Parts: sequence; C-alpha cells; structure tokens
Amino acid sequence: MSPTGGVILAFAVMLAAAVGFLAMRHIRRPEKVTVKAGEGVISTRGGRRVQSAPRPDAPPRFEGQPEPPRREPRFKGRQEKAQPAPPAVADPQLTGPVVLEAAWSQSVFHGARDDGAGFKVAVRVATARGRSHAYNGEPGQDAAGVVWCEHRRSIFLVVADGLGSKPDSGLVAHGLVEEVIGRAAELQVSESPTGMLASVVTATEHWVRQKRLDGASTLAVAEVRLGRDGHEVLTWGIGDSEAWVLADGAWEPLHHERRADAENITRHLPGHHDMHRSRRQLRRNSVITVASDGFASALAKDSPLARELADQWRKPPAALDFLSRVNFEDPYFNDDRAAVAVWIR
Amino acid sequence: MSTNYAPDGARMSRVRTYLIYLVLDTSESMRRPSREAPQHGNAQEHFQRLIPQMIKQLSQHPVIHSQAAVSVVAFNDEPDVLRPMTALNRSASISVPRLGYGTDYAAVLRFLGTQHASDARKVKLDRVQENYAVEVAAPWIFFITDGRPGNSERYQELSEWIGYRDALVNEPTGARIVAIGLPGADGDTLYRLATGQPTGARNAFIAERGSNLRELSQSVVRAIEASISTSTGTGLLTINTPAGMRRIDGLTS
Repeated sequence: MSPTGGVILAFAVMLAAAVGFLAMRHIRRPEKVTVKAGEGVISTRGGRRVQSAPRPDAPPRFEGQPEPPRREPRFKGRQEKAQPAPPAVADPQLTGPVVLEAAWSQSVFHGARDDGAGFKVAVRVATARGRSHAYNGEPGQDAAGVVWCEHRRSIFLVVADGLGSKPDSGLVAHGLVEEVIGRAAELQVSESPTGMLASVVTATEHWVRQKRLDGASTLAVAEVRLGRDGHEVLTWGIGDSEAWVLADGAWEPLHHERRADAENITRHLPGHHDMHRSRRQLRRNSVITVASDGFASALAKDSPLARELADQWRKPPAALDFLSRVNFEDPYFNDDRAAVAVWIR
Repeated sequence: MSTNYAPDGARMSRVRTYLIYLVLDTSESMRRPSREAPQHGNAQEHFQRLIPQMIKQLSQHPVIHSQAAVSVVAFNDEPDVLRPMTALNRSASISVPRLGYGTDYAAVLRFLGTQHASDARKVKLDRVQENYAVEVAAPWIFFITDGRPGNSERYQELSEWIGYRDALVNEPTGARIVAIGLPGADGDTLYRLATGQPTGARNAFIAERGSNLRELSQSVVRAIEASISTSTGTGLLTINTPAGMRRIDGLTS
C-alpha cells in the first residue's frame, strides 16, 4: 500500500468511529416509572408505554420490604437455574361433605373453611391404592372424609381402613365413612359425638349383617373445635388407624393402637364397640392428621417420614404434593393409604 | 382378642417382615412312583423341580420380595436345610436333599423351634435400617408329607411329636402351619399338625384318591405361591384348597 493510500484509510476509520459515537448518544435507556405489587413493571421506551409481565423469579416488592433470602441450588454441581414456583392457587371453600375411596385410583381433595370468627382451616384429603393390592389386581379398601358442621362450628375428619383378609372390606370402609360424615354434618351442639359414633357402630353391624357382607374396617375420627378461648381436638378410634398432631415441628400421637408384639391383628367394625378417646388443646399452626395405618405406621416421633413432613407441612401443600406425600414410596410400606389433614391458621 | 398394646408404640416406626418355611418330606416313599401311574414319576423329583421355580417367581414380585424371607427344609431321618432363611430379594442356592428313609416329625418340629430364633435374628440384622424397628411376624410353615410320622424303625406316637408342634405354634413363636398330605398321608395326623383359620377350619389338606402326582405337585406349589402372595399383603396366613385335594374337616377318631 502507498503512503497516500494509508493516510486515506486511517481517515476513513476515524470518520466511522465519530459517526458511531454521535449515533449512540441518541439511544435512550428505558425509564422505570412505577412498580406496584401484583402488577408488572411499567416502563417507557422510545416515548411508548409498555407493560411487561412480572418476572416470576423476582416478584414485585413494596418499598422498604427486605430482600428475600437467596435460595441455594439444591444440587450445587449442576448449578441449574431455579425453576419458578407455581402460582399459589387459593383453596376452594369446603361447603359440602367430602368422601374419597381408594378402590382403583388415587384421589385428592383440597379446600378451606373460615369459621366466621377469624379462624381458618385448610383441608387436604387423599386416598391411594397400595402396591400390594395393585400388583395382585385387587381394589384398595381405604376411605376418608371430611365435613364442616355448621351447628357446632367444627370440622370432622374420618378415616376407615378395610381389612385385607375380607373381600367386602372396601365397601364396609366406604359405607362407614359416609355414615359418620352424614351424621356429623347434622350434629347439634347439644348432641354428643360419642353417642353419634356409637349409633354408627350399631348401624354398621346391622347393615353388614343385612347385606351379608364379608367385610370389616377400622375407624378413626377427629373433631377439631375452633374457639376464641382456644382450639381443641377430640379423637375416637377402633383399630389401627391413627390420629396425630404436628405442632412446633414435633409429631405427637392422639390415637394409636400399636401392639407390643408382631401380630398383624387389629380391632375392627363390626365386632368391637369400645372406642378409645382422647382430647387435646391445640395452638394455631397445628396440623391434625387422621390416617390409615398404611400411612400412619410410618409416623413416629422421629421417623424419616415424620421429620420430612414436619418440614414440608409447615404450610398446607399443593393438592398433588399432599397426595404424593401420603403415597410415599418405600419397599416396606405397601398397604392402602388414606389421610385427612387440617391446618389451623 | 387380647389388647396387647405398646404404650410407647408410637415412639418408633415399625416395618414387618415374614419368615416362611417350606418343609418337604424326603423319606423313602417320596421317591417311589405311584403304582397307578409310574410314568408320572415320584413326588420328590417334582417338588425339587417346582420349589426353585416358585421361589424365583416370588423373588420377581415387586412387593413380596422385599417383605418375605424363605427357607427350604427337607426331612427324613433328620432335618436338612436346603436353602437357609434368605430374603426373597437375595439369591441363595437350594441344595439336593440327603438320602434318608424315615419321616421323623419329632426331629423336624424340634429343629424348626430352635432354628426359628436364629433365623429371626439373622433377618432382623439383614433388614435393619435407620429409624425403622423391624418386627418379625410369626413364621408360616408349609409342611408337605406323604406318610405317617416315624423313623426308619417304627411309627412315632402322637405324644412323641405333638409337644414339639405345640411349642412351635404357641407363644412366643406362634407359628402357623399348613399341612399338605400327598397320597399315603394320614388325615388325622395332618389335622393335628395344622393350625386353624379364624373361621375355625384348619389348614390341613389331603390328596383325593387317584390324583396324578405330577399335577398334584404343581397344584400344591401353585396354592402355596398364591397363599404367600396374598397372605403377605394381609399379614394373615390363608390358603385355598389345592386342586386334586380336599380340606380335612376334623378327626376321624
């Protein structure tokens, strides 16, 4: 290249850089103007107002609200980008009685109930056929139900576990839960739940005999009473279905009939009349769980499941999450599952 | 029913495991083909072929294989462990039974009573895991025989073996026994050996006259397999009558 050519080339490069610098000065950065909780970030760009969707990983915050704690990725080796949490779905109001059974499928219900005096309970119910029945091509035999009693301003939780050794036990368990739920919904303040349950025991014996059913079931019932002076739970049980309370991260049994020996024998209906009873005062944020032994027998004061749920159930989980916790996988636990849980808010 | 509750039962979560004994008579008569149909072979050769197949089937069951352990015990003049008590999800070979002639009930029942304690300890250790107490259910015994109790010299009186049977089925072992009688077995002996169901019927079965030994062996093994499969789910030993057999209703004398 000649000296003249080199001078011309250098001049051209300098001219191009100068034009570029002047052009950049005219590009305006977007200007944030407002931020509101529940709305997107509104910005102006090039004189036009644009509303963007809220960023799921950075929810809008009120002024003065502290930064949320940064979540550490669970698997540090992979450093994956955290997935956005699913949007919270409000629980539908628990209006009528709910009864689920576990013959061939897994079922779950979620709901909530406001007592009208400032207390609220979140409700989860799940049933699942156990692996033993599933692999033998047999129906599950557990049932569970929940009902709000308007007269007593309380909620009833019911679980029945059909005995696997009898073919009609699933039918008996389902009928038993329906009977208790139906009567509990209409129970008056002046009436005794113990008396109501005693009449259910008698009615069940009569019904099983009349229909010539070859079936039997355990029964566990809890009534959660909410009150300004404190909440309480009362439990009734016949057999190895259980009731537990989770409070301050610790599980305590309300009703269980675990045996000292290794016999797989339980009290059941029809056949047994005496109901074991308990009564316990409750605090807010307590979780009451009534469950068949397929789930409850894995609970203990310090069992792996109890530890895991003490963490996971601090708040009511999403419905499917509740179902998957109730239907946990373990090679030693293959029985049907039924569980009802309420969170006192 | 007793209410044997553990006051602190909710302190630990417990898992249940089942010990199952397949007890096979290997006396001289078990190696003898039936007179009516010698072409069908003898009972011992059929069971030696079918029992390993059944254990393989059960070991492939996704629920049972983690809950049950099986031992195979042969007996003639003396007991002989062919497969030590091993969980179904662990492999273990099954050896060939020693040659013998007698049908010594007393020796094998006494042996099962002492063996069960060490088998239960072994399985507990084998199954131990964090925060789960492993409880061993009462053992289930499937007892297959074709003869009256006796050693190579003489028959055994009831009083010579019933005490060992009672010790086995009473607490603390609480064994449940299914007695299966092939052609030649004595109905009263089987009835006395077996334990009952809640309905009152005893799990004692005897072959119908003219049963084909090969088919009978197959139906017995099928019934045992189905029984283990169902009973492990419910925790209660139940068994349907094998094809070619009938349930023994009671004593004849």
